[in-house]
Amino acid sequence: MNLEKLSIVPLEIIDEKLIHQLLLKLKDVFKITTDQITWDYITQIDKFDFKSGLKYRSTELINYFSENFPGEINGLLFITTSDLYSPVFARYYGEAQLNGKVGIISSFYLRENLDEKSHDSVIFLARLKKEAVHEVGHLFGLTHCPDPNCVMNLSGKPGDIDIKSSSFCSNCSEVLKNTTATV
Amino acid sequence: MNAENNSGIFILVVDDEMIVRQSLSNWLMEEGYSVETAENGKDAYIKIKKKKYDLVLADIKMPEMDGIELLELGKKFDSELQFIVMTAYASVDTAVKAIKEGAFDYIVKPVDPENVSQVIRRSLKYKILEKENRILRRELERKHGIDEIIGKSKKMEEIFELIRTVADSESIVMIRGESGTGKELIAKAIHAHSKRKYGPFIALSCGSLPDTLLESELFGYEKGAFTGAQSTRKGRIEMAQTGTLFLDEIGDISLKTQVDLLRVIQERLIYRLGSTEPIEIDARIISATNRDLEAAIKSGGFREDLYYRLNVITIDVPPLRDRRDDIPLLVKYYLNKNHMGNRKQITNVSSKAMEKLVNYSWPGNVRELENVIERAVVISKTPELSCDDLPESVKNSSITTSKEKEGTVSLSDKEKSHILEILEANDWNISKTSRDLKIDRTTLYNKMKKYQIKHRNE
Repeated sequence: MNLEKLSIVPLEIIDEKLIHQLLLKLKDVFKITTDQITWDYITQIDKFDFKSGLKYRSTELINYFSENFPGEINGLLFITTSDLYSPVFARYYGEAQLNGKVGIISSFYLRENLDEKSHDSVIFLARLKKEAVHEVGHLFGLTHCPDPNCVMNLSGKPGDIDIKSSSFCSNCSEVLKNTTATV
Repeated sequence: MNAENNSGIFILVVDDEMIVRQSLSNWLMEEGYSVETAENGKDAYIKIKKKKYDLVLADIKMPEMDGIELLELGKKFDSELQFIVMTAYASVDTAVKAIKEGAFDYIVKPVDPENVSQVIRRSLKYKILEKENRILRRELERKHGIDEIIGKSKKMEEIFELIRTVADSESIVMIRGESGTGKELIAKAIHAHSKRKYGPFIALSCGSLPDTLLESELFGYEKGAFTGAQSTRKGRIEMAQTGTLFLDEIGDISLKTQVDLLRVIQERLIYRLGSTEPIEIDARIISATNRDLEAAIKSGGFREDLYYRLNVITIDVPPLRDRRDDIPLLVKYYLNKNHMGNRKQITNVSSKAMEKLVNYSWPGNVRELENVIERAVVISKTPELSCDDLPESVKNSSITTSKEKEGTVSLSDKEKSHILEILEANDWNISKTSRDLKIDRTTLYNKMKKYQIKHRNE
């Protein structure tokens, strides 16, 4: 089953313009409808804390919402400015279920080597968009790609994100086309 | 699946913490691998016994059965199975122990995702290389092993047995036989079955080189040792270190080189030309000749002491005319070989052509047979090889044995071969043959009975 609609859920107060840019990008790339919903909205029944100190336990959060998925929602992409926690991994920008419905991205490391100057804000937004497309790509069944220009390429450092483009290589585009065609 | 298709690679994640299993599974699936999980070593071992995994990613500290025990059992069950162990800082010593037990690498948690991907990719690449290496070694053994020497005759069976026996020893072997009998193949087979099989097999045809060139080929030289020695070069003896040195046409080397060679065998040391630095030699020597060395010793052309050094174990390779039973097998082998090279479909050999091939004396032995078949395959216009495709010398053949060749054939042997030749010429027509032989049919039958002459189809 494929996503037809994706809802972005900010886990903290995040600039509305930034969220708006992400919604447009994801809508454009995946040809789906996108909207923004609040954390309070999806946790109105259960109140859970997915934080260990200042970090979000991303795997647990994804697992929880995969099993307790609000019926009227089709797909969720959490976005946070906090770091993510995994008992295995030290530093990562996001996590998503392959062929699933829930993902998360963190902007925690994406400001690395950038300041508040206008040009750097552009780079930051570009990084965030690429990571959002990357994680949603996993929800659509795309795995990591060896093409360094493809958005599905695995980025080690934030600087690596700048190297890759925000679009898919021809192979990944083909896979995505076949996936969405089976809806 | 994306450009890098990993879905055929199966990874088993073993950890007692569910969140670790899930976190790793999510990640590995994003990398495109097929992932399964187990919550302890015991469950993992059950899974390993049931299914072929490429890699196990296991935590060291687990209840029931820990990662090290799983590694030992897993490797015992499937030696090709790759293991990467995971540990916290506190147990790095244990991780090192795991490496000694055969794990490919270890991951200290928490780790950058990119590092995990790199370690996994490296381990899988190593596994592929190991597999390729095994296949190539097997192929090499097969290619140069006894299987490459074609023959089912009693004489060849005896040679195969001798190859197996001498291969295990370090003794110097001398292979004797006419030109083209496959002496080098036998030397290669000894090498391939010996403990030195992973070392080099270095061959040198001593007879084809002038004395000075042979010396530099054998011993190598230092830069400036003689005019034209622009750089230091290893000799064949040195190149054969840990392997086998095959010296063909040993009977053709000069008395001076014989002395040098004798010293190498006795002292196991060589000196490159222009050097006073001794180099210790660890190579097995196999020599070969088609010469009558005993006669050469008598005439002073070959040193007796070197003869005894080289002739510790002798393998006499029979000429092809003395193992005619092997000819049909060899013909079939070379037909297949040429068929693969030429893409020409020669599926059969006519009985008449086969008779000619079997009866021919083959002075050039197996090498000549190979050439004749290659030529026949090229010129043949039908899927069946006929007499027309054979050279004149083979077409006009009649049985000649080594004894005949040496001129020591008895009168009865001569009579037998003459009757056979006339029978062949008359397509085994008894009346025609008796007429040609100017004897009556009964006498012919009696002689055939006496010499046990039977048609090939009987």
